[in-house]
Amino acid sequence: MRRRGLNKIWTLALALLIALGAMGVTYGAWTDEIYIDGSLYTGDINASVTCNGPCPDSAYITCAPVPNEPMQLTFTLKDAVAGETYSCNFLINNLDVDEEVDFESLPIKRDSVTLSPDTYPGITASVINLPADPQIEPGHSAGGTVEIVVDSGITPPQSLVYTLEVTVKRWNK
Amino acid sequence: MRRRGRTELKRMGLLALALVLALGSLGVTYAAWTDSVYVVGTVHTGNLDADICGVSSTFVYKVPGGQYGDLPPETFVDYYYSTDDDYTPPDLPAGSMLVAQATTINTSVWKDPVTKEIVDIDSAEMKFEGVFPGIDFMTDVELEYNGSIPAKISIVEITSDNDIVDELWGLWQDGGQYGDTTYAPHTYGIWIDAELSTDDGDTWIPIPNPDPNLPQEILGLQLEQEDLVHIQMHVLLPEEPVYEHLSLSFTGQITVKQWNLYEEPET
Repeated sequence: MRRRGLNKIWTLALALLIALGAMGVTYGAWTDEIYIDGSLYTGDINASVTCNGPCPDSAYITCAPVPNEPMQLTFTLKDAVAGETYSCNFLINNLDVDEEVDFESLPIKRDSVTLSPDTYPGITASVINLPADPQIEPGHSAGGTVEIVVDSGITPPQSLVYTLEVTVKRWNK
Repeated sequence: MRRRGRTELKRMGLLALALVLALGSLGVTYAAWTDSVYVVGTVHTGNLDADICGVSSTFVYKVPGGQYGDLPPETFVDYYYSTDDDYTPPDLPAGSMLVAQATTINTSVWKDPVTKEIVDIDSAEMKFEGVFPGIDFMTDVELEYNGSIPAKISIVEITSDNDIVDELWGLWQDGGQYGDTTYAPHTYGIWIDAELSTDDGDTWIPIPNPDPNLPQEILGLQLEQEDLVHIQMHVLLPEEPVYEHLSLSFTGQITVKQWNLYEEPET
């Protein structure tokens, strides 16, 4: 008896399925779907500071990157002569690493530029020629110059090392 | 008995023959005494049909020297609605540049381009590009309900194989702790909300969404023919380095269901 009952139910279900199939209708047709494909890329600040070519007085002053510190450079002054001024140029870069990716890098703003140590007796080191506009667009760079003035009448150390550190932030922060 | 039966049959046969002859002599056939009415019938079943009829996008500009409301300095946000994926940039001062955007493109297909058969696939592509902290990047699909029978929204979901999406859902719902910084619920993260128009877009009723992981208020929202609904996705990042330079994908689904088959989701 039980098997007969089940057979009837299955037969009815099959008949219903065939009937719906013949009508070209399925239960799922009574919903409608909207599908979305999405992607999320967040912006980045890809800034660095680099030497802008060899220093003009490269016999006396040299520029070098600091390993693993993309926002730092060292400037080494050797055999400086009293009464002379030495300079070397650098770049603050807002890198656009992958040009194929839109909106990868955000505009940045120069936040701080420091040169340390700031005191050697009779020697003045400073950063000059920074652009008035602190903003740097993606894919662009802004220049600056480290200038070291050795007073006349002193005997400078044989070697002096200065570290330049630049910090940047998002343009609207 | 057997012979008698045969006789009765013969009698009945004669009677039938006589009747046929009589009717025939009257010039009338049996068929003439009937008439037919033919009915041609059609059955139209109802349908459920929600179509994408517009999209909204967010465009963020850097405007030198600009200050717009409570936005961060030099930042202008253009929330733009379009029915044809076109975009007309705002008239901004010289030197302005587009720095980030959240856009949706309607990729629905009505007819198969090869077979010309009607396929009616409703789909869209959402892209968040260059997203950065502090701005509500919102993009949406505008759905027009064209079905003949009422429907209810039964599924609205975003899924990703990247844990960051879940993390940002959770941040919106529950808030979060990043080092010394605590973010309250409903301040940052990813969430979905909606708004409904029953008057062809003249007025929009916000559909509150207190729980972004389970948008109860959106789920069960009933749509009548010609109703419009915006399903909006928001990304508002906190100022945390962990969300810098991310690249991830997600998929979403919105499903409408016959109104009287809708079941409340389990909480």
